[in-house]
Amino acid sequence: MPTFYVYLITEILIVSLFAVSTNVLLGFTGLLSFGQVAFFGSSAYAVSLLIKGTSLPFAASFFICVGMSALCALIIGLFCMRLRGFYFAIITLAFSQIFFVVAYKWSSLTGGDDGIVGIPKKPFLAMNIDGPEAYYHFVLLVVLVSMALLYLIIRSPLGEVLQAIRDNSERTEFLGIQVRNYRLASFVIAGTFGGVAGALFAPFQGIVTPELLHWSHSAEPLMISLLGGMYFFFGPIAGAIIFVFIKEWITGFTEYWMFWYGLLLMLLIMYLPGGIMGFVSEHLKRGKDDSK
Amino acid sequence: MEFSYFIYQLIIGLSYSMLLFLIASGLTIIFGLLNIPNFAHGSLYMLGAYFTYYFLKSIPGLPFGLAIVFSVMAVGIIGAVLEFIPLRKIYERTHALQLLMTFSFILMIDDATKYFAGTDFLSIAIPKLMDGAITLPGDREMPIYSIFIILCGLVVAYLLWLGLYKTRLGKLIQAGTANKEMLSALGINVPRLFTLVFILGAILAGMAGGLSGPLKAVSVGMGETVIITIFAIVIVGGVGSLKGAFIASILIGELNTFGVVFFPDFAMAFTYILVIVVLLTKPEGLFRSR
Repeated sequence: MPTFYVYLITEILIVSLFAVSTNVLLGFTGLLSFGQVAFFGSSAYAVSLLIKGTSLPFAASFFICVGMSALCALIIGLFCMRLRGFYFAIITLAFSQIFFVVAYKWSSLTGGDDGIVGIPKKPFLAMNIDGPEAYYHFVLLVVLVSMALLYLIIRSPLGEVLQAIRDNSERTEFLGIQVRNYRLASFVIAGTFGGVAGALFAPFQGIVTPELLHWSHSAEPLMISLLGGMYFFFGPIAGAIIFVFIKEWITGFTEYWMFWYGLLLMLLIMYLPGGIMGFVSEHLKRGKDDSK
Repeated sequence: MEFSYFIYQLIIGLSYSMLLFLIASGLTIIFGLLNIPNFAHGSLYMLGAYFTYYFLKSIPGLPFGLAIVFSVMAVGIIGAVLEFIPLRKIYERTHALQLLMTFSFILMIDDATKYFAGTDFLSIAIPKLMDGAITLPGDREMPIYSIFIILCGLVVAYLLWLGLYKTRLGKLIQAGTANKEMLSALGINVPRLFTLVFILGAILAGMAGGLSGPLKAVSVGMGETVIITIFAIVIVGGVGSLKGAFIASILIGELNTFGVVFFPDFAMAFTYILVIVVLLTKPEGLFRSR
């Protein structure tokens, strides 16, 4: 396989994981968080600092960062759980912007605007992950394990409760379910796996910059979920594949790919709010009905 | 800190506050009535600055005031298009989809601006009439233009207050903010009212953009930088409350200005901390009228 495609697929895998984790909140709990980038970005920063600044093995750094993401999500989530809808989106955004300011201004630690460069791919346990192909295999392994865990969570009773909360939080509350605790659980799950994606991303890019933590970057996993279909577990994965390819394709002939992406997003919301998976499944259903 | 320096910073902060109010007033009215959290409001502000720059550049001898009028009209038209085609489709949808939709506007407006205007920082000269400074006690030089901005803010605040509380249209807007269905039942053409209000909001953003041109560099990032502060103002003030937006603008403008004096490194975070504190203690905002 040409190296270019190895890179592209590695990127798709990481972006998919980030989007699927964000979609646990968006599509399965009905919470719009504009702050997922806080977990992705801070984990990317933390893993870079640990790799470059300490002699810890990569695996240890990796798990420390994932644990840190979970803890951050728990603490921030405790605050954010008091709010709904738009206000929830804004408070998550405000928290993530504080992370951004720290990364941007604490230059002695984070390198400020320049970020941290030259993050090496140290071996993970006994696994050599140096080089594009080796790193791709590592990412594939981690993403598959993470996706399997996320899938099990969504299909578990916990996942069922989350979807009930999404569909009607009041009725769910009346059933005697502590909606707030379940929402918090969902926030922690999303933050933790967002952190996994971030920890994978830093050595992949070899560089982390404050831009990673900027709020506008938070919209990416949301757009991807919407594109693929946020009510489907695999929706964001389909979205990520299409997103990365479209980006690659459009940047081939114009640097103004964001315009076209914006237009696509706008048309999607206007005409196809269920995303691509939603469209396909509706047509499959219709086809079945017709054949009866 | 010397007293004269304190006063100087206070006035500088006030001019920043009034600029923020000009942008935030439009957003709070839109959000209050249409219930659309328009993320692209900052981009309309940015467009106001770019249009002003291009009108001044392409029409030699054009007075600054007229350039603002032209650019405000241009931004108003863009606002009308945004409301009429895509936004109309999503009034009944969730805030999540509305936020993402207006986010798509940011992507399109920003990239289109980059395409037509490039990524260089542009600058608009201070109009000749207001080029200069007055000396405050303690030998502090206060740019006349900053004082002009303060006056603009106060005048617009007054006019909006008059318009909102003393005219029929204003009363309709207020009524709509409180209860849309009732307004519609009374035979008011609500969709048309929505379009009007969105255009009004866009115009206010565009005007703020044009006025900010001589103060800071005109660049594509300016909309994205300001929008979070503007949302902060609208939330702290209480969605839909003009008075709230005014007071919150002063609060956040001064907080930022003095923050930069005392804690230059982390002043940026103050706005976010304030938003978090307000959301956690008074999620309806400090001055929600309802």
